[in-house]
Amino acid sequence: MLIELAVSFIAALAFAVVFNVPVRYLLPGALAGAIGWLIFRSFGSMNTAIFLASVGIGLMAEGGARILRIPVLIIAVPGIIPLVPGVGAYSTMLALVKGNFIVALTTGTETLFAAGAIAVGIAVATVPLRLVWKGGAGHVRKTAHTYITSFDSPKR
Amino acid sequence: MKDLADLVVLAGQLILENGGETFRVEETMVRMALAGGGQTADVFAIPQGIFCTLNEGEQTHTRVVRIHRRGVNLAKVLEVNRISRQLSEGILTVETAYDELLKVDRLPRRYPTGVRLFAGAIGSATFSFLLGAHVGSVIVAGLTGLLVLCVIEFLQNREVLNFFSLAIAGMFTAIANLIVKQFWSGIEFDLAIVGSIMVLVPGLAITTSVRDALFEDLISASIRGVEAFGVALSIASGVGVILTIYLWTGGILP
Repeated sequence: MLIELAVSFIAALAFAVVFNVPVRYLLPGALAGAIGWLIFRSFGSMNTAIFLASVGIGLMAEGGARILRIPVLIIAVPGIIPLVPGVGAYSTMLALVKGNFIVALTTGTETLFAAGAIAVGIAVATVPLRLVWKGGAGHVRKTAHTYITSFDSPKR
Repeated sequence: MKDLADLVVLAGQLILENGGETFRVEETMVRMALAGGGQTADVFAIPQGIFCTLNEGEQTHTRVVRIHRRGVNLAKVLEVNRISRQLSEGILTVETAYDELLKVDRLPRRYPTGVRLFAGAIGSATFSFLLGAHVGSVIVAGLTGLLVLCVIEFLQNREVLNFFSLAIAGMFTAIANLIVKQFWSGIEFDLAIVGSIMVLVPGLAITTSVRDALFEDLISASIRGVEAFGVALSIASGVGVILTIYLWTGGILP
């Protein structure tokens, strides 16, 4: 388990480098990847686990982004990479190649739901922090037409 | 002399070209316009372009920018974020901010290509390990991941259409793994392939799409969602073509 944690940390780190995250912000993303993998494994390996793990990653990304004042993407993108349902996509493709459409439909639906779980998880994670920690974003958007000349510093 | 509209549009363009979300583009542009002395600002951005109008004193500036090439460089998004914040806080003026943005535009890739390729190889290897592959397959996945990234890098420098280069990279993955399989039948073929195409997976497009949908930029969200789906589809079709040929010629897949 410890080895897996370390490996997921390295995986997220490596993907952060591929996405050109600057050196000093590599660590949060990699950490999010490792913790996300921990949640994923401790809830079994079903779609529910993917959902919970991506909620965790989303929360870490939102919180970390506010603390470090960086875009949420810098933490979230490397974090979710270990959860991406690669095997499901491959088996769907293989079943299609073999002409086994029933299997393709089952695995394909499963893969689609896994991807959906990641998406919904990240989306859900945005809500609680917005409730307690009101950033300037929504405010600026609604009042773009009023005459604003100064802001308190942006939170993201 | 560059005016406020140029500054604002350049900032938005930089964020959009390097993988930022649509709401970030719009918000940053409005903030910069207001901080730079504009009275009102209206921005509409989709992944393919930006439309903006801003009033500055008696003048109205309108700009339309078409975005052609989009890549992933989160470092640049971060830098534009910083410049926008410093402009709002009064540390930078419009002119100095414009110079800073030009510097960001010329910023090279944060990591040298070698480092990125190596990181991709490590990423592929570790991913297939996480899927439960044995050490041998992990090494194969790492090497093919490196190959895939090299192919993608080469094709993108030649400006081959993105979906085609992804499909070709998928074909290379399948071929490389099939060759290894001929010499060493103990390889976990599927896990090695999944690991090595993982470097191409549209993780950014998925995340950005979700966040766009969340902030009700539904046009951008659907564009990016379709993009992610298309990327996945073209990788799969690249791998699938090779595997189909392999099956035709009498090969057996697990």
